[in-house]
Amino acid sequence: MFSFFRRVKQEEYPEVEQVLSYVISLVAQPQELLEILAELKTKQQSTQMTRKAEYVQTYLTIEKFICTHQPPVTSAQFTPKSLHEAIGKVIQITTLPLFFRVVLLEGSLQLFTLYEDGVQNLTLQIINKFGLEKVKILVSAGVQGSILDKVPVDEHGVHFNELYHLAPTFSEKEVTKVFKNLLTALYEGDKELEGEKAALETAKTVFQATQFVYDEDLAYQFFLVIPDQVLEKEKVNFLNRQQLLNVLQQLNAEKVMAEESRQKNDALLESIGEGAFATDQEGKVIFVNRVTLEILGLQEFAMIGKHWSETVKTLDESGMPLPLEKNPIDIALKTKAKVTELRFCYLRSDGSSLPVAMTASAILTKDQVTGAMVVFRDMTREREIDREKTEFISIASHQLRTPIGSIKWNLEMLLKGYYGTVTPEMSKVVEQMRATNDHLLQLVNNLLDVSRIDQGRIKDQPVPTAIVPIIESIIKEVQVQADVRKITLTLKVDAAEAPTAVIDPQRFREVIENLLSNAIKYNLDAGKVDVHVSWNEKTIQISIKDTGMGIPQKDQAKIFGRFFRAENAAKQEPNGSGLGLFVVKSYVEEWGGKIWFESPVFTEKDGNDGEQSRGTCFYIEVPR
Amino acid sequence: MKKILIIEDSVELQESYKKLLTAEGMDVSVAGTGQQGLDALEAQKPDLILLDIMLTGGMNGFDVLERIKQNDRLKEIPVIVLTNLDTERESGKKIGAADYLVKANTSIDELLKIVKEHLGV
Repeated sequence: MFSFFRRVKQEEYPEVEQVLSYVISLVAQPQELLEILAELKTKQQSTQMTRKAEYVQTYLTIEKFICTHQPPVTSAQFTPKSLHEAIGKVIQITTLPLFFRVVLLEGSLQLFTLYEDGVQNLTLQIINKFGLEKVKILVSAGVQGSILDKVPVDEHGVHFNELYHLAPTFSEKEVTKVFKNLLTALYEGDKELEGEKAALETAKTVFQATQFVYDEDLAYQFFLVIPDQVLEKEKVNFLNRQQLLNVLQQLNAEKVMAEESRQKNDALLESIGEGAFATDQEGKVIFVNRVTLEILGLQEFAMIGKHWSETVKTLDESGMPLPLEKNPIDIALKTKAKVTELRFCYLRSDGSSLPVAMTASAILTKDQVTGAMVVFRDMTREREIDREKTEFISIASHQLRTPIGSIKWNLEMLLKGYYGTVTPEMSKVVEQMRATNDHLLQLVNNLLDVSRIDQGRIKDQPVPTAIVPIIESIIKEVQVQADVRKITLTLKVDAAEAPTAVIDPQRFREVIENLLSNAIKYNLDAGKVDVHVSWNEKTIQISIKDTGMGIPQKDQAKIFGRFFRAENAAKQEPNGSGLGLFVVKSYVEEWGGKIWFESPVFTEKDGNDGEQSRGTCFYIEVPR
Repeated sequence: MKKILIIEDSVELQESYKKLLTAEGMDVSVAGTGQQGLDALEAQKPDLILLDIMLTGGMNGFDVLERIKQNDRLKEIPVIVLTNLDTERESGKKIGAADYLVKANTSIDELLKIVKEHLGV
């Protein structure tokens, strides 16, 4: 009997020694092998390996020597499989201790045995801590509905050997799956009873033992069954060189896939005509597209890896540097929101500023902010057009009003006798000219208002305003117009002190002027216009009720539309612009108010019996 | 007799203002450009200034208004901006206009009323 292991007395495994002696005896000239083994022995002592691990490693070293040495060192060339079979002929493999048996088995049987070893270790630890019953429950939870459903458990552990004969009939994949469930159940149970840290320790001990006992490829199999929770945190601790290589390979494959998908995304982001860049959760730039670099005049290396604020300088609408906490990127990172800003400028590397429209969105992974994506567009042209439009309106309002205003004052002064006596006949003509000129002015004003509303440029400044004096002064102004047709104007205010309304006084004046002048224009001769001011806790309501022609039912839905004129109104006053009520509604809604009307529906038949003059009542409700 | 300075480049309107305000018993002087207006203010201190915005001659009404408001001797004089530009109401008030009237939208009665209010008569 070969005496290589005889020096160590404790932990003897005679059957294993028998196997080792047998395989060494197969080698015709063992001198080279013995040298290798002597070297191995020194290494094993220095790493203080367990006796079991020494046996396994020694066997595997011999097996490798026999199966791979060229020229062959044995009478016939062995493969690991044929060597195992040869060993099976001289010793019954089932009599070998479990740790050693594993290395002599193939396929699912090997996995079965390997995993069994781990489970035995784990269950023995749990039995010691919590007793047999607990382990029974955990094991049955782990194997339920699987090939191991009936596995017996007693104080010596889990007796897989009774189901052992089943193993070869199942695929390796299935064996792995069942043991993964089983180990997870045991780990979870341990964790529940003892806490995560202790459970992790136990699992670690088991897997480390495995690593010592088995070769790299076998130990790697254990990674397939280690509960995920253990893997997550401790994976690296268990890795040896081969496993690292495997993991690296896997990572590499994932990296290639990720790279492909990244290239696709990059191509996508490059192909859009807008600037795009992305940051990580700390705001460091991790991606930037070509358009961004071109627009900002930067190099990629200048941006990547640095906080975005180092290269992307943002100015607010007044040209001042925007504080970090107000920047959409910062807001997106902090609040997960998607923020769009149309008014800001970016500072180019040459110091010029560039108007941009930007949108910053948080990048969310499992609802956690992992970064921000910014897309922006050069708005130079849009802002230029905007500026030109505004300028046009300003100029037009000035240029058109100047001659009209000049005529207006001169006509008024003429009528008031500043230029001498005017005969009644002349006065009539001048009054007509004045009315026509006022109408022209109204048209110009309305058109300018509409173009401003279209651009969203009503620069309203709603302030608490006493509205009754404004209404009174307008009534005074339109009194002349009303007197001509003998129309009575009345104002009723619910109490002496009406509360203030939050409106823009100038626009409010236009609103009331418009509604009052309509109420007179479209009234009957000798009709009435009643203005009523009332209020509640939150709003003030102004109603203007006339006794005029009313609004035909078919026109009621369109009355606030732009350029729309009711049929009967157009007949009576052909020169209206159809813009007045559109403007009125826009203003009132701008203050958060409402406008509506009541005009009793009448039909042609009603019209015939004189019911047409029930009139219209406009209501506006504004916040107080 | 209240002294009024009108800074307005339209000769036609200068005439209208003069006629209108003289008839109310006011002492009216007229400047056709911003610079002339400032020169006139050096010579005399009016009780009220009526100021146009779109002026010819390199200096607009806002420039004139700013200069008036920076001058300790003149800054208390009420300045009524009278223009047809209705988009600049806010800037006018910000610089310190006592009132901002759109000419075409103001009747002569309203104009007189506002002038008198600021003069305290």
